Amino acid sequence: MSNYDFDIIVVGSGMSGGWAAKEFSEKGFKTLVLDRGKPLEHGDYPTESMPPWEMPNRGRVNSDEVERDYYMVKRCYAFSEYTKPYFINDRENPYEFPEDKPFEWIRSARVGGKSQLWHRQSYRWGEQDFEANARDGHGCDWPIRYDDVKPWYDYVERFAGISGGYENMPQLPDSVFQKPHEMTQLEKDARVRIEAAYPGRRVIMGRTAHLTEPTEEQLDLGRGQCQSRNECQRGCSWGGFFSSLAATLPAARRTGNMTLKPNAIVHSVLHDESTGKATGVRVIDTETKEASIITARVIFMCASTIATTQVLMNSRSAKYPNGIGNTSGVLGHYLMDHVMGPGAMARFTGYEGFYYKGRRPTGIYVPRFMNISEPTDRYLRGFGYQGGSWRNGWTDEGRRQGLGGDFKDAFSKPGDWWFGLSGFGEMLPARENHIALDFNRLDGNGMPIIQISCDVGENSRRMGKDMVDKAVEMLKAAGGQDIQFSGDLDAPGLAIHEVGTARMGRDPKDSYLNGFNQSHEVANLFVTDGAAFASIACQNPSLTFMALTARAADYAATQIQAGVL
Amino acid sequence: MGMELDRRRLLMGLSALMGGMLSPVAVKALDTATDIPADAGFRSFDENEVALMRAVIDTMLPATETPSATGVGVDLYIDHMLAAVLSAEEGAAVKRSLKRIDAAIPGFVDKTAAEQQALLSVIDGQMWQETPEAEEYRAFKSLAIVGYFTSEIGATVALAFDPVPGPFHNGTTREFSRTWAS
Ligand SMILES: Cc1cc2nc3c(=O)[nH]c(=O)nc-3n(C[C@H](O)[C@H](O)[C@H](O)COP(=O)(O)OP(=O)(O)OC[C@H]3O[C@@H](n4cnc5c(N)ncnc54)[C@H](O)[C@@H]3O)c2cc1C
Repeated sequence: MSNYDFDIIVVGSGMSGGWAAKEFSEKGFKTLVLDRGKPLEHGDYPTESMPPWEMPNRGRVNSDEVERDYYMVKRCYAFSEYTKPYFINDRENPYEFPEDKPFEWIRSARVGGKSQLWHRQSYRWGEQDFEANARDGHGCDWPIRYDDVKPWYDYVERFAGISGGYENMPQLPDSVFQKPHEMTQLEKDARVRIEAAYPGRRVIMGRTAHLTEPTEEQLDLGRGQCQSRNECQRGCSWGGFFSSLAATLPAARRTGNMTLKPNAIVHSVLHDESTGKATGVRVIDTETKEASIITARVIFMCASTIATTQVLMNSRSAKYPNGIGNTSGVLGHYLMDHVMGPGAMARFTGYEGFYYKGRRPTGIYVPRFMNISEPTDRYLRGFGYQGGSWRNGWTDEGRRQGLGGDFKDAFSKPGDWWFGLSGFGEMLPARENHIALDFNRLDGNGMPIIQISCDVGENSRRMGKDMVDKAVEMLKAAGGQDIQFSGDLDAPGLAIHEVGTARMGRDPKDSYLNGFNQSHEVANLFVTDGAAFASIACQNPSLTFMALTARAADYAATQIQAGVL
Repeated sequence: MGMELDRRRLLMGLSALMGGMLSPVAVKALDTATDIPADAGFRSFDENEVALMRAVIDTMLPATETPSATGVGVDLYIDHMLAAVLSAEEGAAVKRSLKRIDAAIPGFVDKTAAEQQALLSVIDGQMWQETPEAEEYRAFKSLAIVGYFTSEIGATVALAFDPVPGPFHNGTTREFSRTWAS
């Protein structure tokens, strides 16, 4: 191994890269983690615990700055004065899309990637999700099935810590759980009413990567029980939720085998035609703009779906003029995101005496039922809902009429109860949804500009209508009044669940990776973030990124030890 | 200075009303001065505009058991928003809203609190259409309310502020009678 600078290079330190770093470091491999983001140390979260009155702008970002630097990021609900340091500057990192097909790409700016910013919703995929492409012919067949991933779900869940309730539903297999968060009284009642009105539909507690019963292993890493602050995205120095900063990177670091380099953007992966292997990466220091080459035996791409594919397409050689390992031409195609936007909410009476303590960091979940227990011929696949109930506080201020003393004092009393459902639907894989690079125009780091072209498609639009209708009928069944709903689809990207563009498959002519996230053509090159996905299911994807990354690292390690890699 | 003293007395009184226990944050509230330094001076409004703005926000949010808008520094907050946070156009909209009130109710500043409330209520009642004027008025009113409930007194005394709640659990409004600040 001494011919290489490192055994392993992991590109990206986010949700996937953190797992690659941990697994390889714990197995004894000298592992280099490169991240384009600025450094961020766990615990060093300047706005954590800051009350609003101590924030210079009470949480708001200067409007001119938003329009100039965060014109895409501003679409993300989690963006505020508190979280600004963790989001990318859109102006300095431009990308493009056709005017009639916006793609709202939300990116992170620091080590830890979006694992620092995510909403921690964590759901396994079921059998039907890995079979979907084979069944209806959209997209290529996954070369793996639920049973291949199941042990790795078990494995990552034990370490990450997922709270939730055991439900025994085939389409949404149970995780290894810590105890679930509590439902509100309204949610408990709504569950009974909805499940009675619509057999086959279930209302369950949201499954979320928060510690409710921390294990020895988690406590040893310095993590602790979630305290229901629900200010996670500002950073949680208690490690109450899973992030690579709080969990996987510290686990990797304590082995002494990991080197983590921030401000290091990987420009391309280098290829040696004589061996047919990748030799290392070309890295640019984002501060000095100096380039260097670092070599390794195995390369794991974990830079997040689109960024990973950008690097691969930018890795051009005589053998691979269209990007390393891309003889098939499939690289860049089959981009997907969740169908998001449609949903409804309703006001409920009869609960005036109920309230709660704590800002619960999750809500309820309605697992997919369409084309599971309720078939339809209007569209393929299905959707789930995230939702929950709350009492209005004071933040409906813009909608309250009146003024004066009573008006003011009314804010101090808990307001109406509301219950909302918001759909997440499965978009079909389609070749025309793709990214391309403009090699004639480079950004400030010398990376070719990404051009994204993505449309959610007709199936998604038909599904979107049903997402509203079903939400409305369930809220009615639950006893809600004043039902408000919206059927508008968000632009893709905004669900921040983008996957595809370097998909797995059985046929090297039509896919980029095999069933171990390994390049069909370049054996020591792996892609384990969302780029590897051949379809998107309707569940939040990150738990599956974790499981597939740990699984691929285990496979690669075995191959190295067997002398194959 | 006088204002600060009142605030202290008020906080003490309230905490007695509410069962005697001051949360650590409320204790801290006693030790800090105003939320935004009172001597900062106004950067976005001239003297007449300040007088009008204060009269309007104190009519919207007058002193009750808790201080008025100006009493918790909402005037300074709005000034800061115009100077450092809002775009020029958003800031101009705030000023237009004030001008419209000035035009509709000449001499607003010099009227009695009761007159101010009666007159401004009429305008408030007309501000629920989707006209630009109405939207600007609501944006201005929102600004005042947000400024109030994100101030230390607003968040910790008018509302209940709970930085570290511990595990989420259900309860009744007898246990938790005030709106949580967030
Ligand atoms: C507000 C929000 C809420 C979300 N909620 C959920 C949720 O509830 N459930 C869920 O499953 N998912 C959720 N997500 C999505 C989740 O965060 C992502 O799916 C996940 O973080 C992606 O993991 P990743 O490893 O692919 O990428 P990331 O976590 O983004 O990490 C990629 C890393 O690679 C680095 N990088 C990029 N390009 C390069 C390069 N060329 N060279 C070197 N480094 C590079 C980046 O700086 C980054 O640190 C949410 C995201 C956001 C922003």
